[in-house]
Amino acid sequence: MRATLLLFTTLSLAGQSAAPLPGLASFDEAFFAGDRRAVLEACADKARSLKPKDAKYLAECGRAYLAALDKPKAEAVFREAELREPKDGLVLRLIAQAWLKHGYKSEALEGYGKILQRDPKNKEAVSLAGADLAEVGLVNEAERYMAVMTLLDKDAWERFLQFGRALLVAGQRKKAATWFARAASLKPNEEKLFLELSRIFAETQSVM
Amino acid sequence: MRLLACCLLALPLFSQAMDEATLRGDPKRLAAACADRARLLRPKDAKMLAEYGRSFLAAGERAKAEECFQAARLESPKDADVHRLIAVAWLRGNQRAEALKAISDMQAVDPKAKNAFTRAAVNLQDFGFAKEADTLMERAWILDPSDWQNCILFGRSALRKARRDAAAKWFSRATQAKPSEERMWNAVALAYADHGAEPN
Repeated sequence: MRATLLLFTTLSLAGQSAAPLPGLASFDEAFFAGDRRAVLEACADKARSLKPKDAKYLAECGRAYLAALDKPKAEAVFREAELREPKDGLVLRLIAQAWLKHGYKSEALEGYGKILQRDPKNKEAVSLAGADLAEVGLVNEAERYMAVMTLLDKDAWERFLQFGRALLVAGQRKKAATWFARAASLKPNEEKLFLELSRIFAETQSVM
Repeated sequence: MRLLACCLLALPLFSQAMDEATLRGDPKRLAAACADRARLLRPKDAKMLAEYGRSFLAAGERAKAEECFQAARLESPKDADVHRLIAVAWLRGNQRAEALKAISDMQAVDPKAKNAFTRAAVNLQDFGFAKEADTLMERAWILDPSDWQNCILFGRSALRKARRDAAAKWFSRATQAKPSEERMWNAVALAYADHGAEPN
């Protein structure tokens, strides 16, 4: 009798485990065409499960969770990313950018501030921070980062172009011209610079 | 002699300072002026020629644009991406027939250029040619169904054009191609997070 009971219990548990577990969605067309938040969460979960220790992935997964309106989960992965790479300016920038993209201005500014505190010589992270902030119209804050950037590398014409472009996107034509002129004076015979400028002017006409 | 003449003709352009005041000017004229300058510095690169042409077209200088496109085709007649760049220029200039002709040339010169096909499909979709984009993307996919990056690229552009069903099809194909690739899952998540916006 006891053995039969045990057998039934085991069978019942086996049956339960055959049912789909939450989060193990079937990734077919219907799924991707369905609820956006569910897609965001499931894809970010999947990426995380495959690479759980990579700080950059964690930061980007956090952005997906924020987009899915799951702020607590986003905060948890941002914390984890920061714990893993507390001094990596690019990771800190990804976290700050995620906040910025979703309208959390104070969290974003705090996050960008950490770049200057912990990895102040990371030219890429500092200039990306400047461009991110310029694009959303936070020009004063953006210029602060570019001032730091210029101290680190006064000849970084490509970064100056990138920053000018961000300013142009934000409708800051005069300020953009300053940075473009700065880049052009550094490399007056660089065809890539003029090609890039020509692209920028051709593509951003609508915002001018 | 010819070189000397070219140099003499180019002198005014070289002496034109790209200062702050100039760079605040009319964007169309600036696009053309910068393209002129780049062309003087690098006159024979096919892809760059195609891009100069795009700027001239944006500035309303069609004859000059066509001259650049022709030079680009002569420099690299079999480079699919050159034809695609020419197509993009026409698309930006709202010249449908010329754009589709360049897309057709692209497929004829290099029928296996799956990456160029994918990028061209994205360009077509961005400019509202969904049907043509789908057909071209299908062709790219047949060339290599395991290329998940191309599926993501196209799916992302479908999202930004609010074509959720088309996006779903390509994301589903991407996940089937490489279900254990974390970069793929991450890319899909970010595509949805950004509503398909072009990455910076």
